[in-house]
Amino acid sequence: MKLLFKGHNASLVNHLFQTLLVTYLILLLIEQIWAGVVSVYLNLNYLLVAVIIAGILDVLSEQPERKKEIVKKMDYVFILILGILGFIIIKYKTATLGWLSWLISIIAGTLIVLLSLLVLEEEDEVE
Amino acid sequence: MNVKTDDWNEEFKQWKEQRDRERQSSLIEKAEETVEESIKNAIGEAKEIEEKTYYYLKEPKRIRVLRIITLLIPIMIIIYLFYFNVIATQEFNYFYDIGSKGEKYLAPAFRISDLVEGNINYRNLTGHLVYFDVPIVRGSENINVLIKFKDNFPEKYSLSLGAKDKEEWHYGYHVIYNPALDGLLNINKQDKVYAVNPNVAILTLEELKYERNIIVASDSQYKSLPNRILDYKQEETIINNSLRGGHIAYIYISGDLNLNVKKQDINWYEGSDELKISVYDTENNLIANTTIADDGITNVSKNKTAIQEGALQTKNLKEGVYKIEFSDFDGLIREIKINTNKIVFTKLFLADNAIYNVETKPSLVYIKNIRKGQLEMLTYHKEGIQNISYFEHGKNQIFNFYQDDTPLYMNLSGGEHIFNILENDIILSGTLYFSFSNESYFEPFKQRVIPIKNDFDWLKDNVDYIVTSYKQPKQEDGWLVAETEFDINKEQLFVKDNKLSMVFNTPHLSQEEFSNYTIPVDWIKITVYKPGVFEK
Repeated sequence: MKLLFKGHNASLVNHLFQTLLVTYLILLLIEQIWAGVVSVYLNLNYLLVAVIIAGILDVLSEQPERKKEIVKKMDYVFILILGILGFIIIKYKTATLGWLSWLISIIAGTLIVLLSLLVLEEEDEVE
Repeated sequence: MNVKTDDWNEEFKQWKEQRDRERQSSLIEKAEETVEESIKNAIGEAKEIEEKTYYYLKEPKRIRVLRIITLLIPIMIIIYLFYFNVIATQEFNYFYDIGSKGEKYLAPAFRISDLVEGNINYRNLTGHLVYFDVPIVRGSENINVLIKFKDNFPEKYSLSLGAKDKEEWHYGYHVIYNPALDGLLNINKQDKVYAVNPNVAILTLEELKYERNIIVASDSQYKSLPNRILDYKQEETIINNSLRGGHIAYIYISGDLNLNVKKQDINWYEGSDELKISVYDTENNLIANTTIADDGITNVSKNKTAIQEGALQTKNLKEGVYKIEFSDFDGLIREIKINTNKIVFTKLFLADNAIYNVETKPSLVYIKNIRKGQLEMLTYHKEGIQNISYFEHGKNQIFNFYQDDTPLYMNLSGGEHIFNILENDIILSGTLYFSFSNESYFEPFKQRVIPIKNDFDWLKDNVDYIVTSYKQPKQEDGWLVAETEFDINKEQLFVKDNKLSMVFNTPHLSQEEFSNYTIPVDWIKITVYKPGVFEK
């Protein structure tokens, strides 16, 4: 397959994609918590289109050589923080469901932690 | 024996030393491994940094610039959102073209006509309550609404626009067209306060709040301050006069409230007849409620049915005025038992008459008029026609209540009046409070606040001030353009999912006889105003 971008250009496209994706996800999260804060002034769908285009370009670009990453204690702490954050957000959004809200958010938080650990350890096994 | 012991000790010593050596060497090995690993990691990281630095230095300048520009995208977006959400003052304009094809603003669809095409395309409001939503941006303060419609109202009817102000179904209304208020053009005013009574001073809204013994008619959320009642006693009051359907009572109480109510369904109309009893404070916050269920008969029977009882208790009430709402139902309130000596009603529908399957017995009603005014009396049956005797200024008088279905007005001077109503089946209303004894009478508020009645002559005779933000609609080629403004914070409007529900209230369209008086609407223009942080 012919690559669209190579070398520094490929790294730039990758950087653009990551920046847009993280921006989109943060704005989406803000919109979920404080509805209207983003959507009234900015149509997130336009940003999503930009993210998708950048993602496609990134896929069609040269990928940097993957190096062995050492799993550190901080990785586990980060996974735990993500799990807690996921739990809090889902609890907030489903607060009206009563006890079911607790159940859903605990399961979701646990899933985030377990799946992240799985990904982390799978990478280890591959290496 | 001694030789053997010495050998054993020697061996044990050697074994112990050997064990310690092994332990030490294992610890040293471990430490070495850790140090080695740390060095490896450090070297790896250093290498990575070196590679990155080298890569960065090798990177062309344009790529570096583009990287910085990429990072600026989220920063710019965040600054943009912060500016518009917090700093900027904005106006959001919405135009609902009701006369356009495929209009989807108004609901429910069955209360709106099909498109009427002509020079101006429009649709008719054909039902009583027609709803639409307005998008509300976070931090918005005011909503200005302009409506273009045609006057096709029966006499003494008006058009109001409501905005939802509670989570449950409740709307705060602004009158946007009321021909009865045309007379306000000739009345002196300050702010929103019209001095209808020529003998009272012209006051601002702030000054009006401190006036005493006046009657104020208002279509806004104007509230009067509650009174402190000195002769209040926590003692049992029993009202055993039958009252038909919904009533509103004010009580004065402190501490625990014990309310017992007996009701009896009369089943004149189809449907179940629950009586909901709700207690509110003067800020209209619900304190407690209860429901007395239907008697089990939902069809039209008109037979005498069993009396049902319900109780409502609430504890530790702060001393003051409370409102009790008895919901409308197809039946009679047969008895009210309450642990306060102060209870008055805003209106009475006296029902101790054989027509309601109860014994006909006289009712004594006590009122205290703070100024000259009128008492409205109405009955829907021939059985309610009667002579009403009343005691005024130490004299017994008779009022000939001679007709049904149309209200009669009795002129009353200021002061106390006691009515002896022999036949009942009569509705008493006005700018008054009613009680069933002299002792239970009290003035709940410093002023009497009543809703604006669509009869300007009546208002002139019975009211001192009118508080309204009503603006006369403008004429535009045979159409009217009316305007009103809602304050989201002051009127405590209920905005959900960034939307405010609004409703057209055309009461005449709920009556069969006026169903042809549909209201043509061309468009609605809405402006939502959001002040910036420096304008608040």
